[in-house]
Amino acid sequence: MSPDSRPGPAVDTVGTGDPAVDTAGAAATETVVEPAGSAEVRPAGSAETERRSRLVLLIGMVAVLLLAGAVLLGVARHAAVTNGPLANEAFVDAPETAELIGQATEAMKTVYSYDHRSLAANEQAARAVITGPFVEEFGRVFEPVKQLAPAQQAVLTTTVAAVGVSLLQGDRARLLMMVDQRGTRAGNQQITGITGRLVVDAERVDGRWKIAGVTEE
Amino acid sequence: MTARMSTPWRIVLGFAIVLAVGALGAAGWFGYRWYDAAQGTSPEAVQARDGALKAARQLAVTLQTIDPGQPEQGLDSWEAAATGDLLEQLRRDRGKYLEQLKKSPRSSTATELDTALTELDVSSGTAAAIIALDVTQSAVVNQRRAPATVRQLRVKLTLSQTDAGWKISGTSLLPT
Repeated sequence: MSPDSRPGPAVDTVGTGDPAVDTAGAAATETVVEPAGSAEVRPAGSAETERRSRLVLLIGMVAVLLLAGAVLLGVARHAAVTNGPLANEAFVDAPETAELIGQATEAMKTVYSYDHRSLAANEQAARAVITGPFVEEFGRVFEPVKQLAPAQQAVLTTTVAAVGVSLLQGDRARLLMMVDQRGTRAGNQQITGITGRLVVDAERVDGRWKIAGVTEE
Repeated sequence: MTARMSTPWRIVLGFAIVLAVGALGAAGWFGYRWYDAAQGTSPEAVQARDGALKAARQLAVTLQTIDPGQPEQGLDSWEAAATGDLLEQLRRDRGKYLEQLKKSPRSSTATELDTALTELDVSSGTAAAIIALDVTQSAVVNQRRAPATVRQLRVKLTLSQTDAGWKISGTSLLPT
């Protein structure tokens, strides 16, 4: 193989706009210039040339059609996933929805429960299931808890009474949670119960759903 | 091909083949991505989910809305929003509700803050939802409304698909 017959350089020259690589231009070169001098072309070149032109044209057309198809598929998928029928997979993809509900529920229970006897462990467990802007918010809320809970002998237990999913889009999700909180201080002297209606933003990080934001309704 | 090709022909043909193979690969890749994204997402499921959600949102408000000045219309709206067990119960207790509204008139309006489905079964046409609902009620004394009280409700609904769309088949409140 001579160096200039390799496909590599031919492809490279496309970018430079070398007219020799242009299909039409090359065909013109072949028919007009080459037949006279080229030893590689047989005398009955015109029929052969026509056949080759057709072949190249055919392959070229197939390539263009396939490229157009690829672009269409790509655009259609993107549109469907971002704001089309596939944009929200909540309950449409049942296993994904069930996984989201399970992991987000556990995460919320973890984040909003503590015991004055195990604050360090509670904080560590909570920080493992939160992400993004909620990390800072959690710090703001848990700092006073660390200072006050030991003296008050405070225990807070959060349960999730009901959970719904309004959005599941790739690695982002939004849930509505009805939570019940039960707190005790200084032994079981004072019991306080709070109920909440929370909108929870979740994000999937490394395959696990974590809490990214909590808003009270 | 019988003839030996000249160098420009080989370049052109080679380029065309490389392009075609590349295009085939791209089409295949995007086709697979499309298939992968669409897998398991049936249009029926999307329709069922969106229909159930919309019904839950609207009908939960309907069931908490009553104007003691027009009790019959209010109860008609309730019954139109209901199906199954709930519809039976509303029909059975219609007389009781009318009497109550007459004896101690009380207006009620509701604002839906957020609604989400908790369950969806496309094949059986059933769903469940939770709603954060603020209900404003005021007693009507001598044709005048007393100061309103706002209750922040946590509503649970079960829904069923009927010939006339999704309707509520059961409702309850989570304790607040």
